[in-house]
Amino acid sequence: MRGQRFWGTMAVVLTWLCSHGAIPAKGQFVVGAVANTEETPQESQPTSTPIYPPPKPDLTGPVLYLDNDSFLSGELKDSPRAGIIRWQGKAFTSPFDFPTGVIGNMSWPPPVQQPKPAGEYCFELAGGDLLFGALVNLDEKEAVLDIPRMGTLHVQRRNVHRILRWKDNSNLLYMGPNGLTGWQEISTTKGWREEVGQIVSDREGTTLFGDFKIPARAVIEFELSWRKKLDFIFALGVDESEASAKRAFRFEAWGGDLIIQREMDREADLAIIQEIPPGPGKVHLVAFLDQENERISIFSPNGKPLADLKFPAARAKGADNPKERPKPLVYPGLRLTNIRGDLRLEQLRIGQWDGQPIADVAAEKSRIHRADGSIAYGRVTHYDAATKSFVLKDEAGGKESRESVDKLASVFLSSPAAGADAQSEADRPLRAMCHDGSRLGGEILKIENGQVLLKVPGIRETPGLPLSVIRSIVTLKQKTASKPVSDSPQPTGRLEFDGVKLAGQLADGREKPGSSCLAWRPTDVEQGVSLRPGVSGRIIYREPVTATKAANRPRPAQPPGVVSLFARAITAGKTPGKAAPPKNLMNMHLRTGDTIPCEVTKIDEAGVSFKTPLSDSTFVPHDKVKAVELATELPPVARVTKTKRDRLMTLPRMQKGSPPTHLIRSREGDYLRGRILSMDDQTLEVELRLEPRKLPRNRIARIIWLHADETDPSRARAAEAEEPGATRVQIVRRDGSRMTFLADACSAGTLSGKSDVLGVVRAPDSEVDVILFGGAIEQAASRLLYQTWKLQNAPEPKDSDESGGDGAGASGLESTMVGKPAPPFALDLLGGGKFDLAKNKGKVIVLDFWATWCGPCMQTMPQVDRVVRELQDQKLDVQLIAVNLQEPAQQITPILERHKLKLTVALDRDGIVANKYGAVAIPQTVIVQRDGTVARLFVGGGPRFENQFRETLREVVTGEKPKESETTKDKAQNKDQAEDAKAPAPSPS
Amino acid sequence: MSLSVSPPAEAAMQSDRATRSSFLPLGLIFLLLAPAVAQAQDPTTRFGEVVPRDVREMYDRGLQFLASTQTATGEWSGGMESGPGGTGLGLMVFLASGEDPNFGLYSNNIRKALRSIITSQDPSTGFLGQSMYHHGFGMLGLAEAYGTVDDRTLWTSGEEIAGGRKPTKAQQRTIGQALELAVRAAITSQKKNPFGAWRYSPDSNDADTSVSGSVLVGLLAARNAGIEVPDEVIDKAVSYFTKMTAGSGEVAYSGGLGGFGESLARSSIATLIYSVARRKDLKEYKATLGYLRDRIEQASSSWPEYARYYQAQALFQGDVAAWEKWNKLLIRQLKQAQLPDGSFRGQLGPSLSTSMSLLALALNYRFLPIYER
Repeated sequence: MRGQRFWGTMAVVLTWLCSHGAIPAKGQFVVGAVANTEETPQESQPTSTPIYPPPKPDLTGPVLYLDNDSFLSGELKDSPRAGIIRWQGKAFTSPFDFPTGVIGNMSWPPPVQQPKPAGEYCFELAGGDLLFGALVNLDEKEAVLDIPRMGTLHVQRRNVHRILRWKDNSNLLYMGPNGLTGWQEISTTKGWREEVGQIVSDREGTTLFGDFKIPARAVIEFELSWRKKLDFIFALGVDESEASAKRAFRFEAWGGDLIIQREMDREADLAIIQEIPPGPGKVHLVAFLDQENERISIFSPNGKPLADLKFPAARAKGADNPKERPKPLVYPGLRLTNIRGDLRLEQLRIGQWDGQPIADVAAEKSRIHRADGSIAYGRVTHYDAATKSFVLKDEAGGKESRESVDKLASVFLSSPAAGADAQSEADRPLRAMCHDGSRLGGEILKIENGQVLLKVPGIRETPGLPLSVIRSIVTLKQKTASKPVSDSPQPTGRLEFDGVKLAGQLADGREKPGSSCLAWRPTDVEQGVSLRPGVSGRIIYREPVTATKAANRPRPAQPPGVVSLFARAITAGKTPGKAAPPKNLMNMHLRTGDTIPCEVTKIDEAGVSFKTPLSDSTFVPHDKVKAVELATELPPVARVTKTKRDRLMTLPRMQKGSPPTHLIRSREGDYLRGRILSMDDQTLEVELRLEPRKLPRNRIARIIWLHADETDPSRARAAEAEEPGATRVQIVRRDGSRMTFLADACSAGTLSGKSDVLGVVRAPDSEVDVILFGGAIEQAASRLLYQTWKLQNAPEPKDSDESGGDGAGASGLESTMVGKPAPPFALDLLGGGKFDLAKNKGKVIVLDFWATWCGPCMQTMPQVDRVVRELQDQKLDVQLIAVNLQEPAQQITPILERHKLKLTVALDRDGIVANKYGAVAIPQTVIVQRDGTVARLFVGGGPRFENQFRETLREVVTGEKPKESETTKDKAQNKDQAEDAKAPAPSPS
Repeated sequence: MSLSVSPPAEAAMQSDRATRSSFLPLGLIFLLLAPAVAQAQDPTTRFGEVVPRDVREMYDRGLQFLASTQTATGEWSGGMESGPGGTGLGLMVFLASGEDPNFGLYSNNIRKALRSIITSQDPSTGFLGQSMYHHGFGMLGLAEAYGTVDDRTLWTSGEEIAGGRKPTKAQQRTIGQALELAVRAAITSQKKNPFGAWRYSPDSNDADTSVSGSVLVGLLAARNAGIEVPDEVIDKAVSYFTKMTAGSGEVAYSGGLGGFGESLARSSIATLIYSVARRKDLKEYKATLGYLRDRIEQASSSWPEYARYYQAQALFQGDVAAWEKWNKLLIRQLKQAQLPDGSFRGQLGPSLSTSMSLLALALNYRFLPIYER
């Protein structure tokens, strides 16, 4: 049989091809194939890459984080009642109403310019609240504060812990953290991240460094917390070097203690600060650091001294011989390392410290610290606004004194009672933190006109925070076990796309203008919301198994379950009536990634005809098909290596105008490229190198379609506009099979719609692993096995990229010689004399390398001469030297006479100068500028050369960029050449 | 007839009379010879099979584009393509359609184009238009019309010509007169040329195979139509081509001026002129034809419409089986390339690209005399 012979010959030809790595000789119509080699799976792809890359929140805008690991980029909307946060998600038609209990936090990106807190005082209130502003009044009952953007607030006196004289933060150097801004991660392991402006790491061995311009004497106040275990180093006064960190004062966790320590070459010292109870915890410390005197003192926030480390311990000894110890260096930075625990830096404040000794205090007592460091104990009865002073009664309760605010540092009104924090947290389910560092805890009453109205314990008013000042709102109290909103049998999935990750379920929906039938109801939310049309994303119900397993690898035979499963999923209008499906059911793969188990009955000019038990449909056009499987392969199944496959899929340049449209694989594993004309139940008719051939169908295992737009993306049709009134979805099932259809409704978790190939489709979410929608379908399909079979154009030779390679468009700057000193030389001149380049510095010299036998040189040289003369006529200092290559004078002179050229010709008799200038192709024209370096180097002439050379030379000689008018004039002068271009047919070159 | 005509024109006029008197016998000889040639061939080669529907539809849409974009004075405007060369190619598209040139659908378009070519002719030199390219293709257009278009209907009501003028009596030459004059201009230019061929300017000292191809095909068509072209003229030009043809079948562009290397267009031109000049005996012919046969799937990297125009004729003249394969690919490619308005867009501008693409398809019809094998 003809076909048999054909395949046999092919195997021989191809084996030869592969072993020789040759391009097929003319007349052979197969470009590459391999017979029976035992290689890695022919259709494989990396299994390690995640099938669906996890989405990330869009940190350039507001993000809502739920406590179930979901997030939703979008914006906070006005919310009319307490307990509900109304959040408009990206790509949704309307906002969701989230119960406040399920919210982890909401955060907003920091403004470009970090605002600094402004005000006369900083008020430290109960529950960690912090406000900046003016003090209007203070008496036994309450404090009246005037806070910018919030107005007057009446705070219960017992809720005011401390009032610091702030003076618009003149002493404040840094207040943060402002996320990772100002920090850099210097460890090789990376793991620090920001959460609501704070910085967090639970990754082992991760280190941050920040240069905060810490002065020689500074006060550093910080709050650190941890969830499981504190195991860290916090070094103060360091630079980026490891050495500085080793010698700095370091907070560390040793055993069950928090300590401060320092280690030098020969000395070390440490002090215990406090015990660390196991489990989650928090420390809030104030450190007074004096780097010049090598001393650090640690206090609690209310002034209780905790530790003091002076270094070296035996200072007195060093004092005898000051030269023994070099003056201690002052380093500007901080370094924070999480060793094996978890760590969160919640607060950090760095301020100037004048070095005043810190007096010992009775921390629990009400008192006033003066700016000079002295302390006045007593009960602060009130603030006298008229005299701008605080009135203090001594402990005995009799004597009254006044402390003027001018000399004031801080006023300690009350210290929080033990357990008060826990008490206050109960009343503060949320805390709002502002970009300027102020913060308030409480309950959100409502959100109105872009203001968050808070009910804060101990404050009479309900302060309103504009959204523009809020950095984050964090839930402090974990949600009380919420009852499931519904007990529907629908599976829970995860909606994912850029900026969105939401656990939940498909809600009922119907396609409407401006609204997709895909609606999503996040867990714990009562109402589902529709997606906008045209969104690309996915819903994951079950994590897909590895790519290779899931993908549509050709199956030798249809597993019995698949068809029934498919049929149930699809319920295509009517049940697949005709008893058992045909035995020889193989798969057809569409470009969308769909797999249709079917029997291919016919291929013709229009497309593929098939029979499937899934549907009454029988036809699919070529542009939708990627592959059909016709028969199982004969063992041993041949495999193709990547190299061989690359060769097989390379389109030679000669065939670019007529690329093959199909790749045919025989049952023995041979490949054939060609164009399928038709196929019936007996014969496949295929055009090979424009010649029709017939092959017996029973020898073919499968056919892969090679679409033109796969090779040349510019031919890709514009993405099909979404069908109005439908959302394009693709369901992916556990066995990897896929089906794409236009969904128009979703009810009780079942999507329904119409497939353009299979007709009516109903897909319940219980049978689906993943639902893809929009462009995500194509993205996912491009990773499937058959879809990776694409022709690749053989690379074009470089010179054909340029228009004709005739110097057109070259700027003269391409040569590596440009900008370098021109190689010096001295040559005899035609007609006597010598030319020495070195003696012509200060002059622009044009070197034109030529020979009489070189036609293009004879064309270019008069142009070069003309341009140089034009400039010489304008009294510009430029000279042309025509360097002749290895020709005797008697050969040169008559040619110059014939061309009526009067040139200064230098005789490069042995070609050494041409060699120095790399003149392997002539004409080559070199412009040497006044400083003796090469300004431009042109190779070849061409129609555009003269203009370009004129402009360039003028620029080199005069230092002026060519003017528009000159360019136009030049164009006019070269009208002759322009005329050439007007000819109807081109000069094919 | 004016007495003040310059000597060359006068000579042309005289020879025109001579041609007219000698035309019938020559035509007779031609007609007598033709069947003898045709009999040696498969009749389907000579007359073709049924023209595929795709070709008919494409050609008709293209014709409509050209008909609708032809100006009132017969040209196709628009930059580089305007002139007797482009008009000559457009004219050939109408002639090749098979419609009756005198009474058919496009007879007015044909007459307009002819009037435009003829009135663009320099009465003293016979030179057609801006360059020898225009001259060559214009001459070819005239030659293909000569004997099929009735001169008596050409100058009836004094229609306008380019520039909004009426043609003078002297300008109202017959097709034969104009063709004869054009042939003489080409011969004069060749005589002055040291290479015995042609380049853009009629007075050039050098030559190239692209311009020379257009002029030589024009001359050969004129000779086939019965205009006297001395053998010496053809031989000299053919010899220029043989010198430019390499053993590989590659044809150089212009001696010493670069442009060597692969060019489907130039190898096609050479194959065509060797064929039409009845010089299939040359080894250079076998080389260029072999070159084309090996590359029927290859697309020209530059000026594809220009390459296809010649490739179609060269393959048809050289190897009908190869042409059939190539033609299948051509139809496939042009079907994809044709725009809804019937035009083809390419480097040469819409009308010239359309004309050349359609003429590449016109081999399926084989109505033009130049396609005679």
